[in-house]
Amino acid sequence: MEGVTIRRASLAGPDGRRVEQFLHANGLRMERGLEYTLVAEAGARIVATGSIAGPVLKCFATDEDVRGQGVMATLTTLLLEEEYRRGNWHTFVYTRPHNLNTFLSLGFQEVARVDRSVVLLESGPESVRDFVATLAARRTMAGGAVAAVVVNCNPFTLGHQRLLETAAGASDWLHVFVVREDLSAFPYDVRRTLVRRGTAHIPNMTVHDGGQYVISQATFPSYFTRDPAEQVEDHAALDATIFGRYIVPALCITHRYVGHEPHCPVTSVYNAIIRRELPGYGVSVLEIPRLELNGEPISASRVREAVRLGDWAAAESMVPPTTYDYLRSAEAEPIIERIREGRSCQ
Amino acid sequence: MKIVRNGQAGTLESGDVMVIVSPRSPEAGAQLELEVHSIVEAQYGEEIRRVVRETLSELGVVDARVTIQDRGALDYCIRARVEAAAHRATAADGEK
Amino acid sequence: MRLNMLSAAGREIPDSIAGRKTVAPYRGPFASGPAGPRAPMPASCSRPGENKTLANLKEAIQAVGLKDGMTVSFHHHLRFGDRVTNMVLDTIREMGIRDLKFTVTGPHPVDDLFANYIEDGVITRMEHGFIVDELGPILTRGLLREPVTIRTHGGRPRAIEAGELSIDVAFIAAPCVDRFGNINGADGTSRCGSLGYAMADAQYARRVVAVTDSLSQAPLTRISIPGTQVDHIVCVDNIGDSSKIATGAIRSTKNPRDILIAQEIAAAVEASGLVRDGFSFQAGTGGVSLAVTQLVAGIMQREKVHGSFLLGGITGSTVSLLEQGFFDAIYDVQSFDLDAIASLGSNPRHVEISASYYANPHNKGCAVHGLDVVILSALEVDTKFNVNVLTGADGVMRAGPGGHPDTAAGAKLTIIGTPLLHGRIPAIVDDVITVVTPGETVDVVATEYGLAVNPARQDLLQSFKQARLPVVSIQELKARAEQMAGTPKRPEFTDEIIGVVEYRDGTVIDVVRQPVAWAGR
Repeated sequence: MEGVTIRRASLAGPDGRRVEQFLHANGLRMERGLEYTLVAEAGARIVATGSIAGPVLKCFATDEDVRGQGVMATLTTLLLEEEYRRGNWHTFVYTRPHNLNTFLSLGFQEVARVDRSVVLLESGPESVRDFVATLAARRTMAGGAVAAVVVNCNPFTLGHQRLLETAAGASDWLHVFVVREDLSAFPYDVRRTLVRRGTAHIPNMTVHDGGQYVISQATFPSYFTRDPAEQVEDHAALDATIFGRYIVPALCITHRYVGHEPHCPVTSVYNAIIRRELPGYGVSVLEIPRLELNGEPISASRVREAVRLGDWAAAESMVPPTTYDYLRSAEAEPIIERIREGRSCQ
Repeated sequence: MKIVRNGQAGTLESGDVMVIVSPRSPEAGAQLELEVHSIVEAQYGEEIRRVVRETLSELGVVDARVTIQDRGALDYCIRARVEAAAHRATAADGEK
Repeated sequence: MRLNMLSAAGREIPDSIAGRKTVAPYRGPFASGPAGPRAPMPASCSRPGENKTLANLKEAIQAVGLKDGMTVSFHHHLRFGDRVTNMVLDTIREMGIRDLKFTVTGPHPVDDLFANYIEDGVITRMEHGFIVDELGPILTRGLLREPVTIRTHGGRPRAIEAGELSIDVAFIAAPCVDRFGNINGADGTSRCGSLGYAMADAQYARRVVAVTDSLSQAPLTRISIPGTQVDHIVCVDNIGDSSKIATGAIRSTKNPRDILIAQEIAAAVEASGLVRDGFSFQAGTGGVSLAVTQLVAGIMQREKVHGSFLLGGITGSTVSLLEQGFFDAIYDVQSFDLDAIASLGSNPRHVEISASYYANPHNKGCAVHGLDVVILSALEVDTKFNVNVLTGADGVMRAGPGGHPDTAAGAKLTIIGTPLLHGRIPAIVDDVITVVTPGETVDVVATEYGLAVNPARQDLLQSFKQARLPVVSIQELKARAEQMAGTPKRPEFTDEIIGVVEYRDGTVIDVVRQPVAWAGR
């Protein structure tokens, strides 16, 4: 640490370019959505860097020269303090496997690892053990056909309804995970409520909070940026590994259903990785064709587009009445307003 | 001493310890939950837990979750960090 | 039923160990001489106009006739920049050759590749100079068929010359080679300076392959390993990552604790009376050692002392002492930084030496036996002054002897510099986990809480007291460490032997057993 100073870098300025170059030199790319970045410098030279995106510490790189001098410990401390200031007490580290020992020695716990590409660690008052315990307490059966579906439902459509009806119909029980991360047009509480209302007629189904471990900023950041240039495969593999390692045994899941995705490259990669990885955990993966309207699959993005254009008839034809009633309610007005102004990313 | 929010003290520097003291969900009954991760777990794990419990007991903290990321801190350092984190986690301490 | 013998360092040694012909317990630093004459060197013949260069590694491996069960050797002069070891092992794996004994002077694994070679059955046995990074946990899991043999820098060439370590093929990462197979390490894009550790391998291996990324058209004028020992040459794109072969200048420490320890050590060196004309000195590359070197130079300047030679692993800081005229020569067995590499290539007083000349006790004279003072470090020292530089507090192998036992035995004054605590772990204990350097070859232990003198050195104790140095007993240091940190729980071990620690003369000074926490992992 002698002669090394650490400061905040503004990625919008010339520092952005320097950080990017330093990451490149270390075989990394600058990921999207970085909210806070620190650089450690020896003179004018960057020797280490690390960033924050939501509760996730990432984009770590260290120069060979300063290894073992505690630069990483100081950098990580400062990033954690920033997370605590932001109210994120349950934090994650997303990094390359060769940094695993460094972060283990800093007291982080390994959540999951994808060989040779990425490892996810966590620290703080909560952990994946708590998540698994919460799930296991809601386990309905061990044995029999137990299915799982992960949905974002932004918002809940007839397509989602069909997927869940199909999965529940073919299974003894269905566990539905609603993506927790509030990076969508419709906030989590609304999405979850619309799932509940639209599936009230399905008796053998439980709705779960996807939490930090099912398609979250920690496990799958590119799901939210929808940028195919990001390491979608690594992210998807990490997400699938966590699902297989923790969620499958907690709920004794035997089947995973996914909706066929012909258009979105991120989702189709995700589906392919799910199909590749989950059989290794004893889970059969079934891909269900999308419900179509006028020859095109129904999707939440089509619904949002109809809402944006004010085409309520089109919207109504793609969502169940429970979702439509909500869309026309006073409660939905601020969200509709944002979608119309195009201020929502997806 | 009643723990009402998350309180943190310490660093991950070598020889220091990062401590987070957090409230627990009220229905589970008063209890101390210790989560210790230490580079010297094999050599000093029991001693660290003993010192943390003793410090909390002296402060009158009986219901909390305490997360420890220990980098080989000596007992006096662990005591100081636990005490500071606990104070920051109580209502009496002003907003930081 | 195995019988246990006791080494003179007080350690129980079984009378038979898998993979060893004989087990002779350590009896004292100079108690055991060579058992017989040296092993024969391989004989060859060549014809006029022969071309040693082969197209690729596969051809070379076929040409030398590498087969299952053989022993392959490598050197570690390219350190973390080395690409040759993995390149060769990958080719061997592709060719389906298995069950090899793998010996490196000091392996520097990249990623977890070594684990893969072991799991694939390519490597089943190892003999090394030290253990770094991932290799320790891999060996501690007990994945090898036989325990790893750990040898000192002097013990390895001794074992090769004695025929105890018989190498079938030596693959030598060669920074610069000419068409006759002459090799040096001072030229080429991947230059590393001295090739001292590779020399015994080149002399005694049945077949020798030089792997280079710099084939010189002109005949070399500087030759470290002569073409008389080299069978084949293979050119590859890149033998090493130059940024990891040699670091920039290693900075001296500003840590006040390390400076305090260095000041105590320098004062002890001065009080010993050894700093006089003809003075010879070795210090390591750690922060304390570098600081001591500077302080000792200050004493030499003040007392107008002209030194003889500097030894060991060489850095820019040692080079600058040579250039300033403090010493007549540097004997370099390994060049640690760019300054040292440049100096070796240009300064005739900076001399490349073999590991055998550096530290082998079983020849007609080695450099460490001419040392006045050596400054060394330790993971832990016990109250008998035994030093452990191999196993961590959890019983996992994480370092190794290197030249530690050799220089300690050779030097007139051996000082171990260590902080009282490594993190929270006491450095002074009742019994070290593994004895690597016996206490009878250690004179002084220097900590930030004072100097402890081996009771066998009453002469030093008197000199230090006269010089008013902060002398304490080793028991006081141990008690102080425990008072500060508490008594650490020591690891428990199974009976499974995973490592054999050879003293430099080939006797067994200690064995490494598998920690209970690692059994079945």
